Amino acid sequence: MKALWEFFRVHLLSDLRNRRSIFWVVIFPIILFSMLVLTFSNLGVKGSIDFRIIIINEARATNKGLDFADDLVKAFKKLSFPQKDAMFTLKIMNPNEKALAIKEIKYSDADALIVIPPEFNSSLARSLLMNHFGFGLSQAVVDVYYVPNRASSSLAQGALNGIIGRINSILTEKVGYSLKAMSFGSRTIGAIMKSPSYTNFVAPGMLVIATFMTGMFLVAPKLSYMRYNHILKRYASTPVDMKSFLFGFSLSRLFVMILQYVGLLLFAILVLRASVNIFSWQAFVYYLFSCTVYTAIGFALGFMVSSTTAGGFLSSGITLPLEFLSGIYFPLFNLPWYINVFVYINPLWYSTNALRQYMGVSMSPIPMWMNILIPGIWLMASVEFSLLKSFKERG
Amino acid sequence: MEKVIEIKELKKFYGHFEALKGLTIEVYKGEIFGFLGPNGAGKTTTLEILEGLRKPSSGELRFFGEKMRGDVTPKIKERIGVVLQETHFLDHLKVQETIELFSSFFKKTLPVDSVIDAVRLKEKRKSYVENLSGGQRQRLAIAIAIVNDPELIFLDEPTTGLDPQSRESIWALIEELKRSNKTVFLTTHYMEEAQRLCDRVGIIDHGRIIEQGTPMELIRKYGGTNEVDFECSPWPEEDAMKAFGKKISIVDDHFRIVTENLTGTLEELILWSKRFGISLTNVFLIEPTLEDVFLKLTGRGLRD
Repeated sequence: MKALWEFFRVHLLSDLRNRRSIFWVVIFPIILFSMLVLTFSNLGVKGSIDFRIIIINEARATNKGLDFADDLVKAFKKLSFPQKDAMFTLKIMNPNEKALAIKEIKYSDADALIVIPPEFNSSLARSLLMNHFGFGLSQAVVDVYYVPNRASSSLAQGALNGIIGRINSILTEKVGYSLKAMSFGSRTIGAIMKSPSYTNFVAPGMLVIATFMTGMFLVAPKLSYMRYNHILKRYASTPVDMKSFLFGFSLSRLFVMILQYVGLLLFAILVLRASVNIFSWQAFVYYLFSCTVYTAIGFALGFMVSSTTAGGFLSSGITLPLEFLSGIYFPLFNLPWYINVFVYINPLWYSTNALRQYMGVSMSPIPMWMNILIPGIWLMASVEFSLLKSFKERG
Repeated sequence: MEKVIEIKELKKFYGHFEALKGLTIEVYKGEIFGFLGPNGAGKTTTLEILEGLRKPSSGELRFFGEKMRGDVTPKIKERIGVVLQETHFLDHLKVQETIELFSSFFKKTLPVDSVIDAVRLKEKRKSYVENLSGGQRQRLAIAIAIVNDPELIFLDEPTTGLDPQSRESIWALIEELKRSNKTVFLTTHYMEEAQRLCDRVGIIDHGRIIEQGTPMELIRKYGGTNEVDFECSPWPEEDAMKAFGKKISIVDDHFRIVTENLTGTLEELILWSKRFGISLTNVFLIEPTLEDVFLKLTGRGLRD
């Protein structure tokens, strides 16, 4: 235990005193994060905001065949793309897809859901009749589902409120007296995902980059240095159990990675105004899993090469392509199949997907178990390779 | 005498290659044993097996009378100190921190301060290891080898690449180890070093010990003749040359006498110079060294 603590302490000290290490694992991710946010956060912003609205019509026509609900749907259609001066993108879904529509709102795939209830036609007919006789109490209600703490969703709800008000005004003009036939029933939905800003989009990926950089630059070259310069042999010639080295060294890397996690998230939230879910325990547990994966990959690379220079070169050569094919900086779609192959074997892609979902940024495009399985395979293969190499070196 | 290391018929195979072909050595308590051999002779393999870094393929290995079965046990490693060839340490660590790290590996240790004092690195205690000179690094390597107060110390080429002054200081440290009754197993490329420090040497070639004994024994046995080189003026006449009656030859611009009886030859040379009125200058006595023994036994230089 004493040796394990000493290994932990000296390896951590040695890194914290190394300006180059500090640059790569602390300063570089922060600079990269800031530059990406400054450069790309305005991309895709247009002069007006395009809302994504879903409408579900559950209403049945009245006995007299009046179908106000259908008219309302048509009115919304006229206000949506591809019409000129459209206010939103409209998606019409079936009543049996209501749960799916609510899920889309939750996961930021849509901003608001309008549900025209089954009794809408009769309610509106009754409302018009009652208003005609001077009773203004009856109103037809349209349910609007939205996420209150999401800016785009709240704006969409406000816009819909305006549209309903406008329809009431049109009806008033037609009947010649003040009429408020339709009202607006707000239904809030608990947000799972936060607003899709670039800062939020890139924040989980920056955590992945940071831990990956630590694996590449604080594990692989350091291990190859210790092998090449017989430091590991020197440890092995003492009674110390090499497991103490393995755990002490790995824990010191893990400690650095946890510092990176805390530091980068604080930077993202306090400086870059990110709004990712920092208290997600799943995100933290998955991050720890990623730390283990990238430390193991670092070990494998460190055992693969026989000199520090080669270790550094290999780490640099691997880092860049893996980062670019990870979807960290920009979404990956419509890639040719031969590039997709590299994306699908890239552990960074899986880590980024998982962290984005756990931090409430966006849904993982693949099932979560795959985000654990593929990096898990990398982990096992790296451990296996490192063990084989170390046994072989032992002769 | 108490045996500290006993190696019997030690063999090591790397695939089909037989690096050690039945090595047999005994090292006694309190002695400095020099392990010499040309590159590729099996020196490093032997040393790595003794240091517990490699497993032997067959043969018997005992430390302090205890037979090893497979790996060198942690219990034995507690009693051993090691200085590897080309010592490196973790960068950005201080001298004291490096010694403390190694100290944490052992149950019984000396106080770190006393170890630092012993290797004369007191002023460098707070220095980063990357700022140490070659000699100071080597002294640090010795410090971490003695931090557990070992009974047996392996020194693998401890002075390679050092300047003469640093080498002298390392030799002094090794002599101190001997004075404190430590057993030292030393490999070196410097025959002068082996001759000066070692009580006994073993010469390995092609995976076998080809000879062992004290340096003087080996020199006597294999070293051959002494040589006396000298210059003189005036240049001796032919009759003077003949009068010497010994095998005298001219090498470049000086004379050389090859002899087995050095004292007799010197007496004769002085009498001869007086008789023929010749003054002797630049007289050099060239005695056989361990290097001559080595070359004779292995047929090649250490660095071949």
